Amino acid sequence: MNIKITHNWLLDYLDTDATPVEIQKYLSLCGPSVERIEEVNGEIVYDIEITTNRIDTASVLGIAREAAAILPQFGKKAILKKKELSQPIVSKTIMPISITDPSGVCRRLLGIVMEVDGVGKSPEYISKRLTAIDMRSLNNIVDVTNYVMTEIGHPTHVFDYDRIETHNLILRHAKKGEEIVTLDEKKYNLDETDIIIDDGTGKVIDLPGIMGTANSVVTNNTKRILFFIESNDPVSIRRTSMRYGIRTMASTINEKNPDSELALTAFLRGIELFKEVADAKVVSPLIDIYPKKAEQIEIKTSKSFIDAKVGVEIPLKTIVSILTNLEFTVSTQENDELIITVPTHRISDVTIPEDIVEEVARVYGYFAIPSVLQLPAYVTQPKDTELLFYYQYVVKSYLKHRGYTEVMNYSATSKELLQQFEVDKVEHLYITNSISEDIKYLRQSLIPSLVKNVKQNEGFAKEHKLFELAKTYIPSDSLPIEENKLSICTSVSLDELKSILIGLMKELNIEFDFKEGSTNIHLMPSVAGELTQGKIQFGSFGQVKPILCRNLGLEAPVYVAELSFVDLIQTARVMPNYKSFSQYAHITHDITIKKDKTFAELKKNAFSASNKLISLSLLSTYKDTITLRLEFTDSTKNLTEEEVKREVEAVQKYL
Amino acid sequence: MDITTLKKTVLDELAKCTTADAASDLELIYLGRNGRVNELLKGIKSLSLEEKKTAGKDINAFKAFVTEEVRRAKSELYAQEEQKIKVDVTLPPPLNKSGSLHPITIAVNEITGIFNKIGFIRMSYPEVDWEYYAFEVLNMPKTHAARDDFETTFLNGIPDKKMGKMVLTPHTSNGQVREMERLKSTPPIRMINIGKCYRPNWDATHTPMFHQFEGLCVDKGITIANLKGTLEYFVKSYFGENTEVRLRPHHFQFTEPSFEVDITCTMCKGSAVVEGKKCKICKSGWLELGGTGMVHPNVLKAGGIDPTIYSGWAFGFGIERVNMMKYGIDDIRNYYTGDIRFLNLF
Repeated sequence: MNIKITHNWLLDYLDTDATPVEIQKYLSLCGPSVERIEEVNGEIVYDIEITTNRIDTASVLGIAREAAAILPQFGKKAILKKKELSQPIVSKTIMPISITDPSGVCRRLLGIVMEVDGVGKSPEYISKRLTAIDMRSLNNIVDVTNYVMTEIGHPTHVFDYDRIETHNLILRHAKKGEEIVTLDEKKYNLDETDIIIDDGTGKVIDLPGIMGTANSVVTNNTKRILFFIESNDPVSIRRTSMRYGIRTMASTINEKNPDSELALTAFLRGIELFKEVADAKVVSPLIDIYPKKAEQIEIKTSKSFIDAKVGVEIPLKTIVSILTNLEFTVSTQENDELIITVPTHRISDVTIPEDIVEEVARVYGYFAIPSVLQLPAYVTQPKDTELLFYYQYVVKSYLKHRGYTEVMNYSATSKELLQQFEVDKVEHLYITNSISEDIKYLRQSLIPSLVKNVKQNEGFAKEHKLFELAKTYIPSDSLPIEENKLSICTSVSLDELKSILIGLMKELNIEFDFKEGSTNIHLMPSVAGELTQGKIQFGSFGQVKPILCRNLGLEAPVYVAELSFVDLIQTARVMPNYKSFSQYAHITHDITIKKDKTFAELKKNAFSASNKLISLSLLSTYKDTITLRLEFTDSTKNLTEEEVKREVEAVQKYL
Repeated sequence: MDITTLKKTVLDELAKCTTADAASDLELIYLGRNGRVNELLKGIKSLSLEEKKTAGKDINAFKAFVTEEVRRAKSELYAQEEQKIKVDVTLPPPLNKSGSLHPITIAVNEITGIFNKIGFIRMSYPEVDWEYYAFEVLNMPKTHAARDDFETTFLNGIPDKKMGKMVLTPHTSNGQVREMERLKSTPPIRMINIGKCYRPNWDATHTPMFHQFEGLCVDKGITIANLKGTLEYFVKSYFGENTEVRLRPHHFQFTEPSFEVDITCTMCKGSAVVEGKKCKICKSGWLELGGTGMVHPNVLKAGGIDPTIYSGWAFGFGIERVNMMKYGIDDIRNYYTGDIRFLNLF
């Protein structure tokens, strides 16, 4: 979250000679990040990022405290000026009020009734400061609550006392479906985990810590107010505020666990301001229900521990002064030990010695710590991991150089795409809280996304050549099986696809065969095959079923291959299998035969028929005939014409 | 035999040659195996010894003359012919469309190489993981805001009693304790884990899927100074020698202390001014790189490592972000739409 405060407001709590630019620079280096300084109607405004653990800095007081610790490190004067706040003096007229928390849903409750002298404009300095930090100035009463929250850092609330007819406030959990109307006139149906305030009749009069309700807030006619602060359970605040999307500054602070001790400071400061802006008179005792006080935390550490974690020696005097300025109490022991008491506003954040290291090191200055590379160490990388990354790059580079574009699609896809590919009945893992229906089901194949990419790019190129190498997620009993797949997609031709596959397998030095037929459900059974090596099946290739393409509005054919990347890298070799070349002549012989088998079968048969055959290639096909070129050699002698003739006959017999 | 006449004839004939090929033909006519020079040599057999001597001398001189004249003529003719050739070498050749690597792939390769040099091994851990590895062991209790529906992507997979729900990892930090477990809780650890991450944000600067690279170093005596040293090494290797690094205080559950890392702006080089105007990219000369910190003792304990003996640092940076910072690729939504007009720029 970010907060804004003005420079003049900061000076109410800080005596310093630092300029706004210096304050921005030094605080950002050692504490809260001051992202911007802007000027609004003559006020210098700081826009400050507050990390979730440092809600104590989300106020003028909190920033002043940080500045008082940090600026002296840079030779700047900075003294924290805390306001003296006194207990209110109660007038003789006493109005009835009862505040109870029977089931203990809050950590602290503070309430007081005041008579006010009309609802009107705030003094100029208040409205000017609130406007400068983007808060609306509404009226003198409501403005006090926002002013105190910004100044002290604890949210506060004010009711119209007379609109709570029972003068009774009971904190409790909401009932399922219970209805409220917030002060911005929006209606919500509550859940049992929400915390509300009941006026004793079952009527809900507040959503504490988040937003007031329309039936109890201050109006222009308010005569008496109930000033109210509660210290809430941060988890419950976040849950409720996120569930209904009510993101007020109060809820943003309350969900980050502000200090319950600070509630009283805010309360007393509020009472003081009501007196100032509305001539308020206190007409009830100060109610403070605080059953369980925050416990004191002590941390034991040492100078040597701090030095060892930081990597540089920091003088003990510096350590003590940094911590003391941050309101920690430090007791130095004889044995180098430090016993440190944590101030209440830091107890949810500072709990272990490492937290003390952070406090010391950040104010000492991270810039003052040297940069030293750690000594090298050898750690074994699993071989399959090493090969995975090596071959990923080899394969991607190869495909790139062959004219293919690498695509990365979302790991999840839409129900619509699964339907278009007729796999919506297949069990897919899906995201239960997806922000878009477009990315809900985890992919089990990359083919649908790639075909969709072709459709999306239809107008941008005549020919499409795409590939993706990514994980697919196959459901199992436990975590899904994350399988890396390589998918190649082209609109050019089946020959183009086969040519790229042959080239790729050559690049990986994998000997393989094209086999007819495939079980891949996205492919046309009559135009589909597999890449195999013995029993290893690397994957499928072929033409995408035209019906699936048409479902996407694609008329032209699309050809794809999807390969198991793990199988590829397990079989791949950096060098091909070495066989020495024959010193003797290679004799070629062309034959034309009737084609009644697949080329793959012809090839297999031919090689099993002759051990002198070293290559068989396709010359041409015409009608139902096929012309093949056979190449023979012998590693021990030159073949005679007679011998070659015998080999050709042997081959032909099997074809 | 009149050598002077012959020489003149050769010169006349050469003068008529308009191409180097014609000169080569003439060369053959005189100097070839059945050429005129050999014919002349054959003709001196019938002469007397004294005449042979003179004639032989003359013929050899003539041969040398022809060789030299032909060479000269050819060289001139070649030069003339070459002068006639004029090609526009800037004309594009027939199209040979090249493909492209995804910008993420290029960056991953670059980053892996930089960390390999200082002994960091690249690892890969699940993208679908249990809450246990994504949060629990990272010191993020069940009530932590990052674990709720608005920050984390949950899956329908059956929850595990011990491990919790199945999530798409919101960061690569799930690899931290997994790496400690792989190494049987025995440092040294020097890991760079690169992977896809998922968070439910989709706008101009966020995509629901993005990439992170995670560094993890655990050993005896690892300090903030070591973290600074490593970041400085990386930043200078990746962004350039003149880039400066700074750490600012921040907060993450799984590191203590935690920092945000800034580097000097790649556009204005840290001056916050470009051509006399305020730099549009950075706020004040610095760009935010990402989050880092010293590994929280609870994380080490979750990985079975004794935090009183070992310490470590960790960081997790977005790859889309470093690409933006280094190469100015600003609209990250283009990364995952498969638009070839974008992809073919790389």
